[in-house]
Parts: sequence; structure tokens; C-alpha cells
Amino acid sequence: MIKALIIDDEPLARDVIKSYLNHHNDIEVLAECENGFEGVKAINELQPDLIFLDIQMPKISGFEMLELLDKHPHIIFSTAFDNYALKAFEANAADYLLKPYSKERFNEAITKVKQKIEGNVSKTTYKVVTDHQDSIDKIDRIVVKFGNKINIIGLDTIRFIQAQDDYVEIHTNEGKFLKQITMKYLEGHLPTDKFVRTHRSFIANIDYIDKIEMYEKESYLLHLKEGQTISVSRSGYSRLKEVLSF
Amino acid sequence: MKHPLSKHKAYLFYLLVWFAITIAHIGVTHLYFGHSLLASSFDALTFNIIIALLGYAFGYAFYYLSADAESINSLVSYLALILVGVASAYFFSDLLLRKIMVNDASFLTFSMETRLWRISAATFYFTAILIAYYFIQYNHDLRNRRNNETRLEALLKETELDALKSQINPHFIFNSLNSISSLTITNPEKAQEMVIKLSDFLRYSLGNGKNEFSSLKEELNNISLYLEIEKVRFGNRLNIKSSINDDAAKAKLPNMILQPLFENAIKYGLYESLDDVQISTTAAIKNDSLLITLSNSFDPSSAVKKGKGIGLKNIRERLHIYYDSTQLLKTEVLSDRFIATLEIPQKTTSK
Repeated sequence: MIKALIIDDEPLARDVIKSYLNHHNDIEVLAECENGFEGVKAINELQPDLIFLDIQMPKISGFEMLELLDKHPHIIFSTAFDNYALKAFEANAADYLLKPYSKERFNEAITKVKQKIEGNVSKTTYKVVTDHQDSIDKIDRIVVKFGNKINIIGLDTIRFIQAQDDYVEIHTNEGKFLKQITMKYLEGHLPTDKFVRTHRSFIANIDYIDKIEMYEKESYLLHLKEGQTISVSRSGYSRLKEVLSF
Repeated sequence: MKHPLSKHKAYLFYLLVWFAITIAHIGVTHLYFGHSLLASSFDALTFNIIIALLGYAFGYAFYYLSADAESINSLVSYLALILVGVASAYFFSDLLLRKIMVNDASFLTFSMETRLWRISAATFYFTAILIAYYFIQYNHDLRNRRNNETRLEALLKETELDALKSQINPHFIFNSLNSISSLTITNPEKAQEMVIKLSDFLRYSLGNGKNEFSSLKEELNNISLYLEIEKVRFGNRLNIKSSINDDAAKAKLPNMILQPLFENAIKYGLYESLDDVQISTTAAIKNDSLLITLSNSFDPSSAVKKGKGIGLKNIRERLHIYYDSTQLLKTEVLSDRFIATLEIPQKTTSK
């Protein structure tokens, strides 16, 4: 028996999937979720083998929801957006269904998932891929998990970001958050007119810069408003110079 | 390569002018200075034909010297052309005359004595030709530019309006079709109802390009189709309230101008929120203007993606095109409500 979850904010869209699944006795729908928050909770509690996932949903998108998961079920995307196919592929999705889709097309997707399950294709965890920097839009918020709570961080509240091994530490007005993501990805996807990679381990939001101070030859310190200090390398200094035009 | 004289057989006129000048030249040399008709003719022909040919050839140079380049460069080029023209006309005609008229001593003296005259005449001819070219080209450019400008303006306005109007979100259409697909399984009657609503909405939205203005009533009817479709998609989460005066309902406004406001209300209110959403509309006439206020609740905690503001920008641009004012759309964000106020002047829309 394959355990499945449906995550979509539109009841009628969930109905289609349920009704197409009537013909598949080996797939059981454990729950339906209306948004990503419910999705994360249900996935962690019910440990489904398969999720049907919409992309545009309230609060957090389907992709943002995936970022919050430690372990991944198999994924079939079900969306009206055709421009996320590449990203879905990067998320190792079993299939990408474009709404509205036929029962035949749906069955194809199910066949693919079954092959994956039977062939024991590993459910690789979703990692934000850093290579296709141009293929993916700029991000305008970051979703993090803090204990059991999900936080949506608006970019203007981020003061600076610090590298911590496999994670980054996001320092915001509301506190620090950890997220498994690379500095390179953030550097490529945060708006370049606001965020500057000042150092191998630091990205600063220029809105919070108080002053820049010479530390020793070719090395600087960046003082942020309200206290913190972060390092600036030589190339970081020239990037700051360019963005702040001084 | 286009010669300035290629239009309207202007070269015939050019030939005629040179014919007249040559005849005059012969006349003056023969009758006034008393040289033989043969000598006078040779003189006039060599001198004038050289200038006429060179002058014609200079026309091609105008292909490269744009008439509106009022720089010192083009002035220098004109002077250079005149200098080259005068020098070659003078020396070649002199050379030819010396070869042909070896026997006519008095004519050769005459030609020596009138050297200054010849140079002046040649200078005058070339200058006149270049000035004529300049004006022909200038006129031509000017007319071209004016034509282009008016054509461009018309085209721009047309495409601009087209582009601004056709901003219906394709995802809305596909998601609605998906809802219909779902209803065909569970509730065929409702599916049919929704197909009809979607068709009516699309027909009005896409097909109404010919009328640039509609009454507020027509517009709101169309928008209610849109909202009903969204209601089918999202169930009871969407609450609509409206209060429209009778006067206001009859007032005219550019069609589809309200649509982006409602789309934004749905997008930020409904798509991005987990709670119920209120959209309320009021409209009234005040000081010869139709005032429409649209307010929707949204969830301030969702750090909503700010969007590119295309919808609002489009409305502003369209209003600017129609009413020549940038102050007709005002927006306001309260803690959990977004309010847009639209002012549509009523006097100018009577076309």
C-alpha cells in the first residue's frame, strides 16, 4: 500500500486527485492539506510515501515547504504554473502535472512513482541547487523552521547572514535562524542592490550598515547599526564600494 | 543610394536650368563680348557641362551627409565640395579651351581676363546647387520624420492599450479550467455553470477591445463573474460587499481598468492568506468625477512577495494616456487592509 498526501489550497483540485485515485486500490490518501504549514506537519506525523503538491499556496509555496522537510516523500507536482518544471526536476520530483490534466496523464505519473518506489530509487533530500543561478528567480523571502514553528523572514528584516559549516545563520531583527543553504546560493539569489557578500563567511544587508572601518592593511570591519561587527575582505570591500558607490 | 533629384523627375528641371544658363552664357559671350558663335558655344559648353555634371555627382554625397547634421563637420564638407568643384571646373574647362581654341588668340586672352568671373560663377553655381540639395533633403527628412512620428504615436498608443488591457492572469484561467475538470466528475451542473461564467468573463475581457469605455455597471458585472469563479475555487473564504450609487453605475470608465485591482485583492487577500477575505467596493459621483474605492483584507504576517506592481502601474499608465494625469489612482496600506481609490473624470469620457 502506498501512503499518499494531497497538498493543494483548492478543494476542487484535491477532488480531482482523489477521484483519479479511486481506480488505484493500492494508494491510500492519508490526509488532505490546504497549505504548506499543514503539509509539513502532516508529512512529519504521517510519513507518507508520496505527496501530490501544488506550488502556489498561501503563506509558503510548495518549494518552500520542501525546504523545511528533513526527509522527503516522492513528489508529484500538480500546478497551473509551467515555469517551475526545471525547479521541480531539481527537486527530484517523480512527475510534474500541469492543471488541468487527464486521467491518462495522471496514471502515467502514478506509474512513474511506482517504478521509483519498486526500484527503490533513493528519495534524495531536496537541496537548493546552486548551479542554475540564472534559471531561478530572485528570492524575496526565506522560510525557516524554528523548533516546531515555521518562520517567514522578509528580506528587509535580515541584518546579515553568516556561514556556519553546512548551514547559514540568518541574523534578523527578530533573532537568529539556521537554514541549510549555501552562501553561494544566497549571494546569487538575494537582490544584489541590497545584499553584499562582504566576506567568505558574511553577507550584509546594506540598509543596516553603520560604518566601515579599516582594520589592518587590506582588511576592513563593517559596523552595523546597533552593534554587531562583521569582517570585510578585499574583494568584499570593492563590492561594497560598487553597491554603495563611495 | 538615393539622389536628391531622383524624385518627381527633378533632374529634368536641373537639365533645363543648365540649358538656360548655357544659352545665357553663349549669348553674353557672343553678343556682348563679340566672340564667334563657335568659340562662345565651346566655352559655355565645356565650362557649364563640367559644373552641371559635378553638381549632379555631388548629390550622391548627400547620401552620406545628413541634412539635419548641423555640425561644423557638415559645413566643412560643404565648403570642401564647393572648393573641389570650383577648382576642377576652372582647371578642366581652361585646359580644354586651350586645346580647342589654340587659333583664337583674342578668345584665349578673354578667357584669361575673365578668370575671376569664372571662379566666382562656378562658386555661385556650386553653392546654389548644394543649398538646393540641402533644402530638398531637409524637407524630405522633415516630412519623413513627421510621418514617422504620427505613425509611431498611433501605433504606440494602440499597442500600449492592447498590452495594458490583456493582463488576464493565465494561471487564473488554467486553475479555473482545473476546477471545471473537477466539477465534471462530481457536479456536472455546476461545471456547466462555471464554464458559462468563465466564457462570459473571457468574452468580455478579451473581446471588448473595440469599446474603450464601458459603464461601471458593465464592468462590475464582469468582475462579479470573475469573483464568482474565484468563489467556486476557494469556497466560502471570499466575502464580497459592494455599495454603488445609481449615478455611479451609469458613469463611464476605461474598460477593464478595475480588473487588476480586483486581481490584486484576490492575489494578496485570498491566495496568500489562510483566513477569510473581505473585498468591499463603493462608488459614487463627486465633483464630476467617478470615485471608486476598493478595499480588501490581507494577512500582514505572511511577508507576502511584493509582486512587481505591474497591475497598478498599468492602471496608472492607462489613466495617464486617457486623462493626462498621474494622480488618479491612490493606494493606501493599513495594518491589515489595502485600499485603492480611483478617480475617473467624467467630462472627458463623453467621446
